[in-house]
Amino acid sequence: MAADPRRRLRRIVDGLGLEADDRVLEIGCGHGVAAEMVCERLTGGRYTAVDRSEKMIAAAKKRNSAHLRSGRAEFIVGELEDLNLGDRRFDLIFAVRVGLFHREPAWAEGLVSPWLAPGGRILGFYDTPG
Amino acid sequence: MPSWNEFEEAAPELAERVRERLDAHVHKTIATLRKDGSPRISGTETQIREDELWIGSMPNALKAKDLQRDPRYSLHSGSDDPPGWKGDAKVSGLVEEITDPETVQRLNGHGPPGPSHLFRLEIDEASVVKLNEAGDGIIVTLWSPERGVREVRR
Repeated sequence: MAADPRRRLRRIVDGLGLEADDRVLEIGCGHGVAAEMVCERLTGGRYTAVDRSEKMIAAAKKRNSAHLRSGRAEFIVGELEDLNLGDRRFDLIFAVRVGLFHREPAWAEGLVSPWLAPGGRILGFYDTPG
Repeated sequence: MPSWNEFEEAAPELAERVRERLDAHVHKTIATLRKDGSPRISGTETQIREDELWIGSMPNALKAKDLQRDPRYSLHSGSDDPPGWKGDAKVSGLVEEITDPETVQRLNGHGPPGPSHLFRLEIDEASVVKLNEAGDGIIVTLWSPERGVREVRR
């Protein structure tokens, strides 16, 4: 595919306001393109991704194999509705082009809010703002 | 957001019916959002190629400008006149504009020469509506990535 989606994701990740030690959860990570950009910005934190598609998770793991090996990133196959992330809590939970987050944001936020650390943020995007 | 291919893998029977309804007519209609948030309806053609659902448009068409500003769309198949109505398909989601010239040429090459827009349609909701067996009500079969396939009879 063209470079367009990558540019859009770059702008979105630039706007996340990431801190180097944030614990980050991405819902619907797809091929793991944003994953790569987030991991590059983390020095002490951790990136966790969930996607319902085994195929996407496999592609995301392949793309991020170095971050996977270093323990910076983890990729989980799962449905948002029955997500079990154990005792993980996140400073930032974000989703890009996940329909639920713009069609029914209150429901989507309700589903992920149990995984939020105190003071954590939930951000949903379907496109680059502006 | 799921591609056509992912929709097809998740709901093969419904995807086949959506494809049949989209292919039954060359002309379809697509809703986009104007700058002020009000809806715009436009004519369009679609194609399913290389496992993806696509639309093209003439350069600077209003629908293309809408989609560049806000990627949300709803697509409606062409529709048969009664009594031979075989049902309609609807697909909604977000577009991804593709500007790589080689891809644009490959997918839009059959159209008029010169520049054009190419959009890949990602699918957040797809449905088919048809008459029930008795012909006195409708059956809607719909799919979303969160809820899978459901059937609603009215």
